[in-house]
Amino acid sequence: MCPLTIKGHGKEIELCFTEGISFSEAIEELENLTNDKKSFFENSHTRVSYSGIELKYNQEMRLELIVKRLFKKDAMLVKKHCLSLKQLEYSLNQGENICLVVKKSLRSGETVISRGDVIIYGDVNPGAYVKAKGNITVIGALRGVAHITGSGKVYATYMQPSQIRIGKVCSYNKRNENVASATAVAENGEIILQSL
Amino acid sequence: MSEIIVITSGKGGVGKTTTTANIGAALALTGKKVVMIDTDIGLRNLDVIMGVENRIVYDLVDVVEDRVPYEKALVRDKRYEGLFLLPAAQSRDKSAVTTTQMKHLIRKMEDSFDYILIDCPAGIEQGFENAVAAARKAIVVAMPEVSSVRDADRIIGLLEKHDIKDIKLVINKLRPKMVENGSMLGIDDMLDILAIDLVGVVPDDEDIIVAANKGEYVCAINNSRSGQAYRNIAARLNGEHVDLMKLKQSFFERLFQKKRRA
Repeated sequence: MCPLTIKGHGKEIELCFTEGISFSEAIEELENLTNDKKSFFENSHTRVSYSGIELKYNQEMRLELIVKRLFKKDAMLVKKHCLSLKQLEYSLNQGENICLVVKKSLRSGETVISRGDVIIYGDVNPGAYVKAKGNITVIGALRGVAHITGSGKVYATYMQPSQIRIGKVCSYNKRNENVASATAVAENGEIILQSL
Repeated sequence: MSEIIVITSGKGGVGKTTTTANIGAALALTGKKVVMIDTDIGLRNLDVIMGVENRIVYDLVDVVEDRVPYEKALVRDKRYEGLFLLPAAQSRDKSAVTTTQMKHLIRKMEDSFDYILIDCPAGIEQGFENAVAAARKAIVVAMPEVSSVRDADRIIGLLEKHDIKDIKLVINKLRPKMVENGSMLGIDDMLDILAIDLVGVVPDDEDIIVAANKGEYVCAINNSRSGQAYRNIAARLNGEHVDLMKLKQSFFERLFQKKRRA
């Protein structure tokens, strides 16, 4: 059986490694397979996912560099099982350099969790919950709960959150106020909205 | 191929059953063959609103357990050509039917009707799963209330998860006067959050309560505003283009309407 299969999913390409393959073997296989058809893969895909292999943080960085060299300079590497937008609960157990992109509105009860950053192209409705270690960006209305476990910022083009938590600081929207295009940051134990 | 539409809301008391009955009757008025399936097992209401409670012999549970063919359990509304009800069982609970059984049943009924309307119970448990299992389209009923909009939002999320893409909104029990002075959510406020297609707005109307208590349909009352709203919804479901009716009436219009009714 072939240790590496490449599958295409629309604008995304998936590298399927056989279970149990070591990291060095995986890289070798990837280089072998793509070197033959370099012109075919070049400038082709911006989103590359992988499955069937567990990678440490530095290994993933190395794989990402290879992917960028082989495919496109701004290619993004993500682990496969986190990518399916059909799933309502996203979770990323990967390194912090990863950005989770969600191209739909989050409705009440839906949850997005990422160890890195999150970008949401759509609204976050009341009752929806976004949790990230890095930054949260909402290209739409933020009406639900945004929770940052690290020390990032929350940006929304329309800010009417029910609650924002950054680190250990928590603030809720007492008077249901709303601001267009604002960033929320934590300063001196308080959450401050900076209008742009 | 029939249209299989589930009518749901999440929250209770927003008017799912009344909406189902009236849309069904309004569709039957346009000459379509319609069957309404009540999936609210244990708390059936649709038969009461239709005024056919006393004529029920067999019910949904009898049909899915293969004791009788579905044709035998259907209750025909004698006032309309082509309006049928498949009533729910009153003595059982939601777990009496499974999603597979519902899919199987609806596949059997599909070719015989133009519209299959499924009245969904409140909540998101087994009853909801059953009602949604075989549906291809959905109508979400919401009231201009914050709690109702929240639940509708959650329900739309769940419907999308069940791969139902065609979801339409009916705004029920709207009071134009309260919207005008800002004490009730308006149509735009609701669409802003829910972001789905609007198929009709039903104003809050005493006629609905009176008609439901008598086991009649408000859509059969010619000069009733809510009845007109339901007839418009039926026309839109049939693919016609009908403008949203004017919600606010002038003093003379109201006077004229009262006089006609008297």
